[in-house]
Amino acid sequence: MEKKLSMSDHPKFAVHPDCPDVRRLGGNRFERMLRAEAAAVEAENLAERDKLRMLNDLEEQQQDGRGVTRRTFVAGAAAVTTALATSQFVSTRASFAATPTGTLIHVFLYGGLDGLALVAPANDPVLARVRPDQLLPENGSIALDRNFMLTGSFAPLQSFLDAGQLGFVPAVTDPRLSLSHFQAADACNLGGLPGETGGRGFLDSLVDVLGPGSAFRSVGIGNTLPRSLVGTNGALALGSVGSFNLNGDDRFKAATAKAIGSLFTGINHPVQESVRDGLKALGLAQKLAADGYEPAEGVEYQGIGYAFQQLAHLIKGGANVRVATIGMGGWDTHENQGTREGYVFNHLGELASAMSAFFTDLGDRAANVTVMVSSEFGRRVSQNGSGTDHGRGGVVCILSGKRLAGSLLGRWEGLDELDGGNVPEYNNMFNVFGSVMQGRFGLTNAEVDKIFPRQKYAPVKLFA
Amino acid sequence: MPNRNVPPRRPAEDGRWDDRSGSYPRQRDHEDGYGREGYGERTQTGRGQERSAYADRAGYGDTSYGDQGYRHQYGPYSDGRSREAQQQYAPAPAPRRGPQWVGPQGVPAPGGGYGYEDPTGPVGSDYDEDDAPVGRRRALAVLGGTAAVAVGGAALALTPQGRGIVSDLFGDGDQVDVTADQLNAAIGDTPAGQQPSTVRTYTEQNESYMGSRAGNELRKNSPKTGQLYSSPSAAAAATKVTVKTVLAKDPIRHLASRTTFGINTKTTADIKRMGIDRWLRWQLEPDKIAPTPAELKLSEHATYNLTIKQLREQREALNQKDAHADQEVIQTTIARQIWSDRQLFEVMVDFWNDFLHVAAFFDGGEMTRASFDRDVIRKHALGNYADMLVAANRHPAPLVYLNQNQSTKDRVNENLARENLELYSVGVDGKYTEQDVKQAALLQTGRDVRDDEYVYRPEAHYVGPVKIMGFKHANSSAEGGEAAAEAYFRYLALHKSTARYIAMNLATRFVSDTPPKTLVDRLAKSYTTNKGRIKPVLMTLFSSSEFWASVGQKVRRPMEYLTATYRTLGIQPGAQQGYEQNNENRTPFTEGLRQIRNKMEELGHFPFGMPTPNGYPDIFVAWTSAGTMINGWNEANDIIHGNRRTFAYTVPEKLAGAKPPATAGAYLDALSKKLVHQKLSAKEKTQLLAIAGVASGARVDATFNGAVGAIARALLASPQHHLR
Repeated sequence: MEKKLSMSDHPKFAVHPDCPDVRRLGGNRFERMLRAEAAAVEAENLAERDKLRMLNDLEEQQQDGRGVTRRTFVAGAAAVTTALATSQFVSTRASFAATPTGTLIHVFLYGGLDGLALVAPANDPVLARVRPDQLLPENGSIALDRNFMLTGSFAPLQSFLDAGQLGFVPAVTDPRLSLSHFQAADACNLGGLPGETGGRGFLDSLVDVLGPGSAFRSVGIGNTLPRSLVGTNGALALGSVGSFNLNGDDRFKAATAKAIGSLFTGINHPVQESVRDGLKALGLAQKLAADGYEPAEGVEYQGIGYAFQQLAHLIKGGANVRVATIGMGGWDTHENQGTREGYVFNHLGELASAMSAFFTDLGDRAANVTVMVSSEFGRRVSQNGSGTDHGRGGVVCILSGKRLAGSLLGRWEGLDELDGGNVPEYNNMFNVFGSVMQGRFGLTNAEVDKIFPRQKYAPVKLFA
Repeated sequence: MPNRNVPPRRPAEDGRWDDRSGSYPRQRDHEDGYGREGYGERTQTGRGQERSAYADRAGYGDTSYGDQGYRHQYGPYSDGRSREAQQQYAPAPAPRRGPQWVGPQGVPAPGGGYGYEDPTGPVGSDYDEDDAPVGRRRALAVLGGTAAVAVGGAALALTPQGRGIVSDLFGDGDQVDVTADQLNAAIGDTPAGQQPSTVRTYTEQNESYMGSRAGNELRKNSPKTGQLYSSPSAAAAATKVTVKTVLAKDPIRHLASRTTFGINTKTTADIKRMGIDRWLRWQLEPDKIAPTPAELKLSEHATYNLTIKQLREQREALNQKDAHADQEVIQTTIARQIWSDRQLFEVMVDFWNDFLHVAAFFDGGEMTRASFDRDVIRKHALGNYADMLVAANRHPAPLVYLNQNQSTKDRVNENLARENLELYSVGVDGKYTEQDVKQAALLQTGRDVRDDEYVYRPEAHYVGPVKIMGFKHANSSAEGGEAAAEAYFRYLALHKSTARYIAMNLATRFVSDTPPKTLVDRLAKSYTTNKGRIKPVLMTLFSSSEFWASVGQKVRRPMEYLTATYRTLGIQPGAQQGYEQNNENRTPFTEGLRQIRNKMEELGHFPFGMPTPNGYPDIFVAWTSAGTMINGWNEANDIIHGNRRTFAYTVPEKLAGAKPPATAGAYLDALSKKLVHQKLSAKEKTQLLAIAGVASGARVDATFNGAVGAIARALLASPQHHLR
């Protein structure tokens, strides 16, 4: 039941929820109040921004010959956005339907997915010779462009493949990635080595470019944030929508949140805003959780699908998620890999079902969503016993609301010359990441360059 | 920049790589019934678990790849390998292909970009004599190349631009045999070499964060002027606290809050009994403070107090017990923060661990990080900073973390030299130039690590006069190079920019995120007058009115919030009835500490945990994530209700005493006095009583009509507990 909003719910704002000006903001009551709030904040921010600039200029002048400004960030734009991002406020630029700029979801497969167990060139003599047990079978695999095959376990995504929304980039890696899970995963998530990025995740840097937004603009599904979201933009780690809640006795939860909010009023310390914003995010999550979640007709979530379900819940609930991550483990297949019909086949099937359920559930909103799946590295071309060992040159999978340029993307020059037994680097990982982000959010090359600071961005054609 | 820049996270405690819900690959095996969450676990199958137990395997060293080997087979990242295999290749790296960091931009392959051939061949001095001139020339070219570095783009030695520089300076670069002296002289004359360094590997985060609206608000709360008094108690008595704040304007409460990891009854009682001055003098002699019972249990950690040599000797046995020194030193630190009486000492240890920062986890740190904490930081935390900086530059941990062990006169790595300037002394605004960094890097050569211990190798030391800012040294012999660099470090430690930088950081930690200039000036002067001795600077701080006037201005960061919660609730070691310690490698105490460490990792803040050398930011703006906040409040609730079963707790209905007051208002007074060490205003009380749905005069039972736990938690989510 929608609670009747009253002035006391939003004491800051002079707008009454039933005011016709508010009605004009569209959406449901809840959305309208937040949009009204956003408009007020936008104005406040603009005034603040000018005042801030003035104060900053004054301060700079007062410094005695300090030389370079203290606010020279390597990442440039971060300075102003960080300064104003102490409040996690809604921006009027973002609407509550999936925004024109959309949502990017990075699914990280931990352990080193064998890319060749996902997509591989058909009838390849090298593969037949060195990994006979881990070959994708001709019968049952799905044909892709450029004479590639896709594992049959991805059948749940067939309709999206047919619609040109599913694509794969093979032979993806970067020279800075070693074959250590930790180092490689860290480097993937940071967008380079830690010293290059100051320890900030690449998705956190992306959020800089996307500008201010709601408390849910960057979300990591799971108990802790992956490194890609760590940084200055206050990403939320959510196990589930329901878990972003106060624990303890149900009887007292609402009253507790209310009491804390009241206590953090008029305390003459700017931390007040941060706490109150956190409580607002809590309120939204509680409302979404209380409303429960019904996926669209015929959609069923299982296994890793539960993580996608949380995102569907948030996106459809209007939380304005811009960037999100999901982690999935169990890919370090040194033994009993089972490409054709065993473990990895089933594990990939779980992933594909989850992605398909997610996009089907989103319905029209899927048009503004892109899911990018990657792993910290791939596996060696030749098999080793019943499995494979860590190797370079993995695969990136893209499921996109926007049409892709094909089902097999990027460069591919065959397996005649391996890189020390590995698939060579035909596509640089961060160029691929950058191209996905560019396609989803309409970034310029310069904006992508800022996200991966120590390399020059070279776009890969991914989108139609 | 750390070696390879990556803290290799420990493999999941039981060797699995399946918990994908975390930034760390760690199984959430809460033995006492927390249950598992997270999608990684949900997708596990029995086979999935086998699959990822790579740490249990003999490691990649088993398989012989010969020429088909990995690029990094012998690299330092092979965490999945058995530690013996890894040990073969540490600390002097075998020939490898991998990222070769010389400066912040690294060294690219010929032709530009990040190729990972080592352009100068094998690292270290073991080169073929015939190759020597080529190696040296290229190394020097690298130096020259990075002299022209600028933010966002680097002229690197083997890029066309780098070659261009050498070419500009000397004619055709490839043909000319350039000596270090010639090149350095040439660099010195170029405009680029004369400019203050603009290369910022790490932003000056504290200051830059506070250039914001939040910063401006805080600045308004700071006094514009200040005064030094003859003693802390005189300052406390004379300072009028005019700032509007919800914290009680009680000097004893304020002192307890700022000099500890959280107020508790014992601390305030001690200060009251001894008086401010005597208490502070007592705190500044930590060796004279008896260890508490909890501190006596620290030895339950198998690696506790072991030297580096002992850790190496006992490696097998310790691995069997899954006892890792770099993890355990964090746990013992947490225990001290919560239970030691040497609170001011612990605060300073945390301060220095973040200032002279070496990450908790990094490649090659497992044997050495605990020693760094004990033998460098703790040894000098209340001593003299110059001694600390000198000790740090002869300790294997920073030398490996920042690649000094890869730096020789023929192939100079400037990482440690740069961070010595940028982070550990004069600071990024300290007015050193790129040339200074290069010179410092040359001077520091010869310092190396063998078998996880420091060793000085004269044959690797660059000989020749150096000039770094105002420091000059003839540096005329290889044998004398160690002493020459030590003289430089002492110069740095006592440089007036260092005084200012340390003063700024101390004032930020103890007084305000926007500390008053008068205080920073006064502290810098005290540091310089006292030649780097820390105790007098602290006494100056506590004798300053700015300190006493800053009631309520600092916000607890996640680690501090958690320790303060444990302390104020009076949680003690001592497993609860019915608790069963399943893992035989741990005791309930060490298990409990491990859980606290895990929670701190979740919150993103644990002792010396920052992976990059700049350490954790000390201002509240960096810590305002909603998720962290809710997580903290939920953890408080769990602690209140005794869910941390390895620790003894007071049941919520007895927090206000065995027989709590019978009326709601009085009961709440007792609770707030106990938990936040002050009374609340009538308005605040009404807001909290609303949780129980009662008025101030209502009669309530010992459980506060069922709401005592909720009210206690709300108190620990109040501004009075978040502000310090």
